[in-house]
Amino acid sequence: MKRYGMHIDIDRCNGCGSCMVACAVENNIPPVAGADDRKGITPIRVYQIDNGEEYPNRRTAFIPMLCQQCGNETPCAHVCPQQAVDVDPETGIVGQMAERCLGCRYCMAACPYHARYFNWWDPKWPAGMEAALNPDVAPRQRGVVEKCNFCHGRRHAAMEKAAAAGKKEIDPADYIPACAEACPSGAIRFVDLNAQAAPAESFRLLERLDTDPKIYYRSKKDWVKRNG
Amino acid sequence: MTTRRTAVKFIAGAGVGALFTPAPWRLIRDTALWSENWPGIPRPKRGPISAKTTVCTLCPAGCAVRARCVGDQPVAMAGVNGGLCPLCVIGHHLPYYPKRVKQGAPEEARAAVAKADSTKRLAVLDLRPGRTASALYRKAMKEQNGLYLAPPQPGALVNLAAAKSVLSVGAPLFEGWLPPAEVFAVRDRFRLVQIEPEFSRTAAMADEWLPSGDVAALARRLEGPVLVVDRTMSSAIVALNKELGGWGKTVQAAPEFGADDLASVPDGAIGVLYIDESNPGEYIPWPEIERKLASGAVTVAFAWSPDGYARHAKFVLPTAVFPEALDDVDGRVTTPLMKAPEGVVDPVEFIAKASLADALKEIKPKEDSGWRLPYLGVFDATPSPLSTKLYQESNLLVAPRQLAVVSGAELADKVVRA
Repeated sequence: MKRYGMHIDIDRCNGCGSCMVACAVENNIPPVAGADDRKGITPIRVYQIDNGEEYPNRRTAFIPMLCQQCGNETPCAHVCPQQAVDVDPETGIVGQMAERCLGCRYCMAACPYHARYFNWWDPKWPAGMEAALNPDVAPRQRGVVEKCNFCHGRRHAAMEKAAAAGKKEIDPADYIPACAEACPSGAIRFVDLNAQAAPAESFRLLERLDTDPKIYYRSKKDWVKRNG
Repeated sequence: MTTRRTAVKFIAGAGVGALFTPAPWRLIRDTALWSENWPGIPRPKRGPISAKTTVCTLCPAGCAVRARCVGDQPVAMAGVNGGLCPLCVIGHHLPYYPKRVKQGAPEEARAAVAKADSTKRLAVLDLRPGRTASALYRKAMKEQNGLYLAPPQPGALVNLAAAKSVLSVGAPLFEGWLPPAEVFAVRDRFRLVQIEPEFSRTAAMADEWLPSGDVAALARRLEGPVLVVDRTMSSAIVALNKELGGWGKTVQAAPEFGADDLASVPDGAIGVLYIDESNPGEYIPWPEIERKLASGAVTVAFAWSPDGYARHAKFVLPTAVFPEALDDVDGRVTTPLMKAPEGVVDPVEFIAKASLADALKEIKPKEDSGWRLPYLGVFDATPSPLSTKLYQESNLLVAPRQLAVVSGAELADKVVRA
């Protein structure tokens, strides 16, 4: 039994955006000219926060924000009328099935982390670029909700590889989500929480809601922890 | 007998009854499924999955890249030694970039160059010196009494792994100044103090940020070995490192590329200027270049993006760039992962065709050597004594970086010849 999650070291994140770009590439998210903060699809989004003070005492930090993969009373799964959201009991991953989704957006309203995005556009790429799409992830039509699913395509590929080798368990090196793989500073680490305990000084966002999120953030800075 | 009342009762009853059957729910689900499978939705190409390795040349960091390919088409990029910057992560999308320079007029450019004022000098601006192409440019300019220009290069190479404290004077240490994977692999071994008026991304990750300060005094107070860096590794900073005992440890000599000094070129002396932007690097501000150009000078930029020197050049010719271009960086081969768009112009062919032909006659590599030939040089990820000799003979010896990136075995299945 796995319990996949992430350890994110905020002190190591410089907000370069590699994780966001890698996520878009991995999940075949098309470039859309009209996308903005509200309508763009960014299953992982890097937020910038500051300590509220003036120069030269001002300090900023970057928080990569993605689906927190709630393990307890998962809010989005509870409200979905189509059972398009499921929580995999074997991994704890909260999945999203675009084929079932009706686009009612109840899940978006229920998500306390605003980590779900409605797809407002048909998938279109510049001429010829369809050839560069990731074959493991199907492009989604407009009118569905999208979110991070810890790169399910990569997990399936790892499972297939393990099955071909006659193994039941996948090799951890074969399954790393795109954001964690791309992060140049090593701030994002994908882990099995059952095997690796949360690091010291770590915290989870909106922990008081008791949804058991599986993304652990870490910072040595007090003001970051307070804001988190 | 059927009355209006019985018909209404039947329809209403059927409506209510249907709610207790799976039919409406199936309809809704099937509608959702159908709408996700319209023929207009692009279908990702399928095929055998393979991996290819190369070196990114989109910035001077030169990260080693492993591309996941479907057939011959790269569909994802990952770092060999760690993560990648956002630009490299989408490197395989650059051929489809809507603003990509795809058309030019090479014959018109040639004609304009032929008509240019012959009393003025010819010049090449090479944004990334140290390549085989750079050697050819130097050779061609020497033969034609031209100028070989390059942006200012770092005054020394740095070794972060040898330092316990790093004092950075505005160097963007964590923003592509060095290969990210190389920097972050040793990040926990040194304490970083960033002196910079702006709270940059590097400053955000530093252990201490100071808007200003006395560099020399601060460096002497830090725990040694101390490495002091600035953006260009200026002579003053190199001297301070020497004073702190870091020469040969935290800093070492940078390779010389034999570029002419732009500042010493008289104003208005250049009649034809070629700019090779196929390997982006540091840029010289355009006003500094512009004043050296003669009136009516012909400027030809070999560019892939319209946002660089292409904004100022009279002729903009499309050129191949990572991951389509075959080139070399710091003695490492960057093998093309995909075919370049139709119509791209090879800047070496354009600028130094005669020199290229001469050089190819001079150096004849053995067929069984397993080496690759981008233009004329012989390249190997781990240079052997013979390849080093050839490097030296062709004036191409460049101190290879300590970061081993692509092994000979990895290159073995990527035979690429010019």
